[in-house]
Amino acid sequence: MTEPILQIEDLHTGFDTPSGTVRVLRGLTLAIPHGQAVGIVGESGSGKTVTALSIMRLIRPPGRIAGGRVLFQGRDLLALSEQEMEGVRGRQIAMIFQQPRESLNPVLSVGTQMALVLERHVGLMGGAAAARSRELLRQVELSDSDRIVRAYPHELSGGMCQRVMIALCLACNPALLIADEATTALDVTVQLQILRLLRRLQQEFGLTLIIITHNLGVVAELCQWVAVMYAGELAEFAPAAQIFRAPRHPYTARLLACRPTGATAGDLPVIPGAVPDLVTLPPGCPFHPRCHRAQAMCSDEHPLLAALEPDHHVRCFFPEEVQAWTPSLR
Amino acid sequence: MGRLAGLSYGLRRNPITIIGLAMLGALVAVALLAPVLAPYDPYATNPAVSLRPPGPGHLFGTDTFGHDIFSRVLYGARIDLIVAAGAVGVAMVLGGLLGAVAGYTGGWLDDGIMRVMDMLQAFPNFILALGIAAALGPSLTNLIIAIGLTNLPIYARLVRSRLLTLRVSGFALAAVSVGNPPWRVLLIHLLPNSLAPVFIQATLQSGWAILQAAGLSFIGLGVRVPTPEWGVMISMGVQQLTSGHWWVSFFPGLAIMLAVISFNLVGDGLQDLLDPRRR
Amino acid sequence: MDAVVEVIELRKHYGVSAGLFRRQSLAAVDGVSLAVRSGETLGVVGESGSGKSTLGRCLLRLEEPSAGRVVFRGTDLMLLPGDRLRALRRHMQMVFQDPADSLNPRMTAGQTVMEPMALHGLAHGAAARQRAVELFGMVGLSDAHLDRYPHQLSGGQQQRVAIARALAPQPDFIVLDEPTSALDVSIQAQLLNLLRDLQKRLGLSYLFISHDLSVVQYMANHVAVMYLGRIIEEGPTQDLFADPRHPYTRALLSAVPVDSPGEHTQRIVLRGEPPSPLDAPRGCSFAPRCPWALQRCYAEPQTLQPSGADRLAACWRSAAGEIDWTRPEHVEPEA
Repeated sequence: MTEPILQIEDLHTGFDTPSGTVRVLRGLTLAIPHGQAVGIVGESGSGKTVTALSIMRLIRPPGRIAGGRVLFQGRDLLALSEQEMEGVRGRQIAMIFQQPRESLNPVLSVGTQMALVLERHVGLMGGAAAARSRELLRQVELSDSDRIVRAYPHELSGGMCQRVMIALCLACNPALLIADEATTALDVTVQLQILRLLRRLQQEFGLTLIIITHNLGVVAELCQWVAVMYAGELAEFAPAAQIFRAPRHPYTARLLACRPTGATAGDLPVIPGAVPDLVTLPPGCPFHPRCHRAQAMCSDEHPLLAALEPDHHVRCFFPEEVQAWTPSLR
Repeated sequence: MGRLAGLSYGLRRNPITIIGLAMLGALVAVALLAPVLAPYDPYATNPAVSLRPPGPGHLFGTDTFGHDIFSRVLYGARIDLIVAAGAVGVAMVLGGLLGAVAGYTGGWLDDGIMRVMDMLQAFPNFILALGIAAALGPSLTNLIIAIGLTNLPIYARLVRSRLLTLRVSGFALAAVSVGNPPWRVLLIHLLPNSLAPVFIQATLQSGWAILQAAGLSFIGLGVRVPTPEWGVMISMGVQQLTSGHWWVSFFPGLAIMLAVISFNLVGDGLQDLLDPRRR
Repeated sequence: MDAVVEVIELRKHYGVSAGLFRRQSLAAVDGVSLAVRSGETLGVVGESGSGKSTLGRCLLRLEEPSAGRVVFRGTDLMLLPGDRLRALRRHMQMVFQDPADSLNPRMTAGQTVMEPMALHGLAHGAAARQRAVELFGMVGLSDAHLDRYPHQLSGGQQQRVAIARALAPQPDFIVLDEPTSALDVSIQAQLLNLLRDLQKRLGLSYLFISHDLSVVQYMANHVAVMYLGRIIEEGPTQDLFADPRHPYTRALLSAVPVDSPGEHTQRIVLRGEPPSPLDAPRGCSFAPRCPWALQRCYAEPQTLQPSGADRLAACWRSAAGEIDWTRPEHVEPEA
């Protein structure tokens, strides 16, 4: 694994509610390798979005970060003052969201918004800013940049808005880009375009990507590494090729198997039950009530993340055998 | 999460609402228990004790006719709460139904109803109430009707806008698809789900209704002298203000203020409790 | 052919204001004909704005179509007055995309499921409750769920309640409008199995609307692909997925991200995005994005034409057998 650009250590984030504190992240530890694309996948309530917001320190009350460290290029982001954090947000770590149109200011033209960002963060004004805007729009493959610069967000399609958002992120030359379900709201044909664009930017600028999604296909398309989250902690972390070829955590294995594919006949393999309520988590491994491999100890003891191979980390007492899985389940 | 647990949690985070609820509770208790609490008959005149300042015998003093102001303020709570509840009730039921029909049916009926509401709202609220009250003649019932009618468009708009959203919601479509006739879709499915904002508005509006009732009575278009109504009582004390007998108008004025504040506090609190986005 | 529902030249136009005094007509569904065979599933695939959901709602007359006919077992729905339509609705039900939105928040799950029985006079009181318990068993819920309100149920459970409600009047035909797209993958698998199982046990016919090609491939016997309000390709599921005849279908299939690397042999990355139905192109609506469009495609749309056994496609070039799928051509329209 290359040197990590971001290291999350024992991160705890919770939300205070009438029925107690919901512990959305329960000791998350994860290292994001420099220049790589890392997918964080999980179902609703797994804590994947809260992970991103915690990295950006965008958790608002009643939520709070209760402990841990987020080391970005060696600095602990959680220890920074709000002012210092503002210097990190957008400039060094940028983020794009599911609804790009809502992230843009509806009453300013794209050109104005880009000029504001370039002036504030980069110090470019007037003609220089305009030229740089056009260059950035070209980089996100918006060829008709003269028209786009004059357009308002409502005049652009969802895919174009997301490209503009990416261009705004690139304006400050960030080292890390977090995409939170950034292609979920787009049509598949447009999603493919955006995924291609992100991959090109990663390769061209050495950008590190964190791709947060529920769609395993998106991760397979783009990422070199995959982190699978379940109930606020990491279930499995490994290179993408390994996760998709030979998942070791029973949850990952079933998650991959239960999506219909062309070859599926008969019933789909299922994960019984539903994602647990974070207030009343089962004791032991949080996945054991739904797990096809669970044994007695799984309901008593909480498994730790263990390296089955140098790069393959799994939180399970009884991981899937490498050979036992594959065609039989699909 | 139980509803009660959620409610008590919401209230604990919002102590101002508790104060409002306590004040409103006290107001209602005073209105109910006025005959027990009041030391004097509110209508009893006694020239011997005319214009006494507040003191041990008459807690809030007396007016020109020797009425005990404390007793009259207590009885006033009854009349003003009845007017507020009645007027808001009229406005809520009529306005709500008109709004529901407008929002659910759409088309020309919607246009027609809403243009009438526009006309009602085009007049300054108080002037309209004044006109209606003057036309109907001064009485408690007419006061309720006048204030009710002027406030009706608020509820019509509220319910209509809520129904415009609910009408296209999944459960409205589902209700139609399982075979509900239109009236059932409206009354059983949509209307009950549009009531929360209506109740919030009604609580806030009750304070205004008291102000309007007092205002109309003050200028002689509401209930009449010597009924123990706060607005009437203020007007009865106005002539005495210049001669230094401040208490005749002051105490009913204070009562109005406290009543309006308590309704507003409770209304704001309800808004926080019932609107999940504000939690 | 034994069709439960037949749709003939269905159109739905919306009036939209375009500027201060101008109104423009938007064709959400633009002349769609299809048939759902008894006991089978017809999948309708399309991206956002393709008109697939509008089609589903018009088919049950939850929205009033602008033109066309919907024939259910020989009865033309368009000619029915309100009360007869309501009675017929017993046989045609719908499950919606967002389960939380499709349940009345003030009704318990039991009340929701018993309502249709009462409305159609099928069961009352204890008998209705007994039937609700049965239905809950069928959809994988327990009796304990009968008295729960929607907010006390998970998304998957809510959708099961919605399915039980749709089954309550014992329908023959159900429109499933993206029934699993608001749910997690693991819950989706449970519900897809359930829907297939119910279909087998009860002999139901489905119209399955989805943007998710792999889900449709799993669920449907026949597939219709929609683009901008029209069906552009139709055929038996396995044939259509194995050998798409319309360039759009081919591009759509190749765009699906897959989790087994190397599954796509050739990918077609389309230009641009679907145009707004407000300024739909004059010719084939897909032409501006089509890698194989010719001048003719920009000038005039092709209608659905037979393309092999049981297959239909609306493409000039594919019909003529002119397309080499491995070689995109990209012809720009003449000014």
